[in-house]
Amino acid sequence: MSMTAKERMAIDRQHMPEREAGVRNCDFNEVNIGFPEQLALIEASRCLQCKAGKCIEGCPVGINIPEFMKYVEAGDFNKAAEVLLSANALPGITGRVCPQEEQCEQVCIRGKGKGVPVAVGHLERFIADWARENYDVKQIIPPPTGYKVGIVGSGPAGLTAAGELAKMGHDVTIFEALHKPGGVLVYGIPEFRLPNKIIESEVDRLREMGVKIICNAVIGRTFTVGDLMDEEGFHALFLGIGAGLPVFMNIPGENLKGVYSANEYLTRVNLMGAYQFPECDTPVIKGKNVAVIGGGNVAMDAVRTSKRLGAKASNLIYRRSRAEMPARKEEVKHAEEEGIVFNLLCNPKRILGNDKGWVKGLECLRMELGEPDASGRRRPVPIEGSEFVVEADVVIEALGAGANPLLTSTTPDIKLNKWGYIEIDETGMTTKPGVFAGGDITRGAATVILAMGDGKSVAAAMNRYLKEKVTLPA
Amino acid sequence: MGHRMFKILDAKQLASDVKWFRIDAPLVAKHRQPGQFIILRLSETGERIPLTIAHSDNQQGFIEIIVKAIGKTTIELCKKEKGDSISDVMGPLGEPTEIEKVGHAVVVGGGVGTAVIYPLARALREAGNYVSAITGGRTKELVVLEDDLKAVSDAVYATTDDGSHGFKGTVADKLRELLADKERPVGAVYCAGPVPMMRAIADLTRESGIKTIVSLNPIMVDGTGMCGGCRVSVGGKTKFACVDGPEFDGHEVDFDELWDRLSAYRDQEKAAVDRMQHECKCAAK
Ligand SMILES: Cc1cc2nc3c(=O)[nH]c(=O)nc-3n(C[C@H](O)[C@H](O)[C@H](O)COP(=O)(O)OP(=O)(O)OC[C@H]3O[C@@H](n4cnc5c(N)ncnc54)[C@H](O)[C@@H]3O)c2cc1C
Ligand SMILES: Cc1cc2nc3c(=O)[nH]c(=O)nc-3n(C[C@H](O)[C@H](O)[C@H](O)COP(=O)(O)OP(=O)(O)OC[C@H]3O[C@@H](n4cnc5c(N)ncnc54)[C@H](O)[C@@H]3O)c2cc1C
Ligand code: SF4
Ligand code: SF4
Ligand code: FES
Repeated sequence: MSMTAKERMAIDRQHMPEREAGVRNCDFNEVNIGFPEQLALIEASRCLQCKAGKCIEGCPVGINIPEFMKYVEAGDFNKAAEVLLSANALPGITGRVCPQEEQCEQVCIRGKGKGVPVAVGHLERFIADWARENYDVKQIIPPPTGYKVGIVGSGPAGLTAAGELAKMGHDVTIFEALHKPGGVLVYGIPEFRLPNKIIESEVDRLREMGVKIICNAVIGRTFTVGDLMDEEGFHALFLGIGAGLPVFMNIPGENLKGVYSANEYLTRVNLMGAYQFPECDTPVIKGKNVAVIGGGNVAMDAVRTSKRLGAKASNLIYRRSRAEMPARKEEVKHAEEEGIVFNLLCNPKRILGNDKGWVKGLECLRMELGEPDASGRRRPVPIEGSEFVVEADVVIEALGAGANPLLTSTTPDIKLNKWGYIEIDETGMTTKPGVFAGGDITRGAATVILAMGDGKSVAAAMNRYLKEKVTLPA
Repeated sequence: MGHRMFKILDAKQLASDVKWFRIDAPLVAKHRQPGQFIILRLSETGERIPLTIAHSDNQQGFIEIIVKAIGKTTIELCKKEKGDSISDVMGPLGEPTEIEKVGHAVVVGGGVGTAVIYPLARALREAGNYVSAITGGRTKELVVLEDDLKAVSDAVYATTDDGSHGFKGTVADKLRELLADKERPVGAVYCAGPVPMMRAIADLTRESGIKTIVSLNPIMVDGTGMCGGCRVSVGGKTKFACVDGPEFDGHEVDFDELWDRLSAYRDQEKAAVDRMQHECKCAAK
């Protein structure tokens, strides 16, 4: 079975089977079908088993990728799952949404020069999906330690921290503001990219491990952080509350009917099921001509969603050029195939309305690229007098997220940075003893895998803190 | 799945389309203050709708709400009885009312807006104010909570447009009378109800500059400041009513914009009610 490096090099990257663009852009089922076993085996055999382990370093949670590949190639999926799950508790999620081209796959030896990297993400997804059906997690939960730990927020950071802390034998309770756990994974990222059932099975696994999940509990209102520590008897807390504050452009016309933040639009559709209205009660304005402002994953999700809701024209409006788009490459490609119109180097100036208070268009300015700015990207500069109007009855602003002050405004003893994000020390502890934080609320809007990485490392620090600093009554 | 349902402990019809509920929700009751609200969702497919907490009891762990049946969710809710359950109740949400000693405080409620002013009247009086309450409706049937208000206010004025009960006229007409009374100058006005009514009240006090707090009712989704759907313009600035409000300075609010935004889903709302009524008829056959 052992192939030579040359033989391996001769194998081309296997394509992820996807549903046809003209079919999938009419429904909310998943776009990628997933590798069949045969393709997975071939793809894994492209891995050269490098000693340097560059790809391992490229992964924020340090999955032992060569070893993982070795087992996949050998068809030992059980062992492959073991390697995967030992480093990453949510591989079915990261395999689907990680920006692989900037992480593990970017540094893969096979991607050097004209080469194409091993499809690490697709294989991760393959094994994760296999494992969900076939792999029995023999989770041995140690005897209870007596420590009571609270997790605020059930996004990837909170879910990961909860799992880690439960494995250590602590009594873990998650508090989630919304009615359903999962954070951005359930309210933001659409079904066609990340089906909810994957998150549900993850949440069920946590429940089986004894983690309690209390939904509809808004920390800062239902309880404050102080209440949880002083009155409810928690010995330590992890704050994984995300970056849930929509950013508006502050241009005229934003309060017209038909203007949404991407958060509202996606929450209506994903969390509330508005795409199934009237079977589900929550409505969304569908729009014939939809304009989405932004160039990241959030903008891609919103614009692709609008197409699926039946828009005749779904326009993306982005102020830089295509090369600077921060969205995952796969998303950009899928969007284009699905008929999304890219209006690049365009910046919105104002939103136009009709006499009934509804949006009718978006006035934009054309831009050209000037000198590089602090981020190294060339700065877009408006071209005088280049105004033009994009016809639109729905406008969605997908400009990123800020720090939501709902919790932090009730915790004066937790220090924030100048953007309102929580400051932490090297262990992940905030300025309030026993209260830790991680994920988007400490980093600013980042990625799923970074949030998970935080959940994992901060859980370890919390464990040390509990054992060293908190004495339980005998 | 281990999901906790919220049980209806008691229910009472207050008017033909207004119903009172007591719901078991100890976590919400625990830290709740006047001026705050909940968001509830009836079932897995339900919408999230905001409702004011009219009263709560921390010891017994319940909250009370007063609901007017006007669309799909509120009609469905008003069909529920003691012993039934609600899928989700989240809260308490919103900034509590700033309860100050102003001397003579007037609370003005129109329709179920009275549910909002009822806890305010109680809190304002406990803070040592003389509280006048004005509760109005188009006709006698629609004046709610008059007796409850009597228990927590110094004076209660019911108004009806047609004069079928109490004072004939609008709540604004009654307020104008109270404002004219030099014996008992009004220190502040607190108002909740339909947008045109709140606008009329704010217009009435604008010139004299009497502090006027209105409780706004924009369309909400999450209630945590995450979506921005509840945005309102106050003093030319955008505010999120679910976290910055729902109460604002009535003299600063852009009521036209609020009124207009409330109509955004009118077509869908109508379709939902038509469909529900159709289904009911089919089921009855
Ligand atoms: C539309 C969209 C698409 C994205 N696509 C990608 C992608 O393809 N790849 C990728 O890597 N990243 C993507 N991201 C970013 C990624 O989702 C986030 O970086 C990640 O979810 C952050 O995780 P978190 O656990 O820190 O917070 P979140 O996922 O934001 O979860 C926070 C949770 O805390 C809850 N909460 C907040 N405040 C409170 C409170 N006071 N009390 C109780 N609960 C509270 C919230 O309701 C939420 O459930 C995307 C983001 C969005 C919005
Ligand atoms: C802070 C706040 C407190 C409130 N308190 C009370 C109360 O104590 N008692 C009471 O009866 N009503 C209250 N309301 C109004 C109540 O939320 C709406 O009547 C309810 O959402 C209507 O839903 P529906 O499906 O029955 O009707 P629909 O047919 O869906 O809507 C009817 C009208 O209600 C408004 N509305 C619709 N959806 C929402 C939504 N998600 N959020 C807010 N408004 C919406 C719109 O103006 C719409 O035209 C309050 C609203 C807010 C914002
Ligand atoms: S978790 Fe993300 S970065 Fe790590 S191996 Fe998987 S896809 Fe690559
Ligand atoms: S760098 Fe690429 S080829 Fe080398 S071990 Fe990692 S995945 Fe395999
Ligand atoms: S309801 Fe979403 S921000 Fe207020």
